[in-house]
Amino acid sequence: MKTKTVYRIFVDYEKEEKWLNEMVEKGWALESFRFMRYRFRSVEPGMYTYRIELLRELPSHPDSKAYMAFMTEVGIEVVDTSYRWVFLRKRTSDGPFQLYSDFDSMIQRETRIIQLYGTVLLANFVVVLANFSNPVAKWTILLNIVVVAMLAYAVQHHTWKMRTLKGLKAIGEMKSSD
Amino acid sequence: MTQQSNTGALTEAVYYILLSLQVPRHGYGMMQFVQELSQGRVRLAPGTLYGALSSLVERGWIQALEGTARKKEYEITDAGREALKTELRRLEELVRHGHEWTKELDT
Repeated sequence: MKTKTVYRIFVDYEKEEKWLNEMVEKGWALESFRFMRYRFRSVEPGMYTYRIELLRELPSHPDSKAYMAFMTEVGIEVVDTSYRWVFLRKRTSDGPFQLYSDFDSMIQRETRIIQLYGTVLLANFVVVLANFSNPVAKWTILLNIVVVAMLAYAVQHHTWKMRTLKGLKAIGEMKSSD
Repeated sequence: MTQQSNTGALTEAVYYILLSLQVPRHGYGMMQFVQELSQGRVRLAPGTLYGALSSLVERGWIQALEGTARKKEYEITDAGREALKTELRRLEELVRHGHEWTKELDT
């Protein structure tokens, strides 16, 4: 069985999810994840659809365990977890794989994402401020500044997305697509 | 929970979940029932279904069945049945008004 390991870092999970689905289109299915390290297995191209979800609690929490058990029940495979993130996949032959079919649950997800990104952004911002006049840390805080900038962009993007969802919700129900 | 949140319209997902749980069903069973009943128009995505089930249990409209079943089953409660009837009356009113007023426009 052919495998390969790819090292990459993503700030926004949306881009990560897109990349995982592009990889599986090329015949590489994610099997495990550790910080920055993605392990893939060679599969029939397009065999799975991947989705990434942010849990409310850590994976060891009973609520998260119940969530993952439920997903398994309905034919979705839990590939791996990392912090509060969970990597899910479904066989393409079993039909389309969307996590949400109404605006409320999508809005709740966006709220969780914005809260997490906002917290990490703030922590990095504090590091930058605390070390700003420190000549020794001059170069190390450069990374923090980049992280702050990327997260600020992500927060802005998800806030915009949430506003759009709220606007749509005010008009009506979500239409089930495919 | 405020009074207001109890009297509002149900979402399509919640309405169909309550309909499906008049007999005990597990998650996958609910998804299939709803899809077949609506002829594919309404699909409950797993994340949405999971969230709705948690809220409905919290609200006391459905309950998880104790048992040895491998898959967790749920069933509607009396309070849930009451909520479903209230919603049905609201929908009937909407439909009646819709017919009355569009008829008037046509003529």
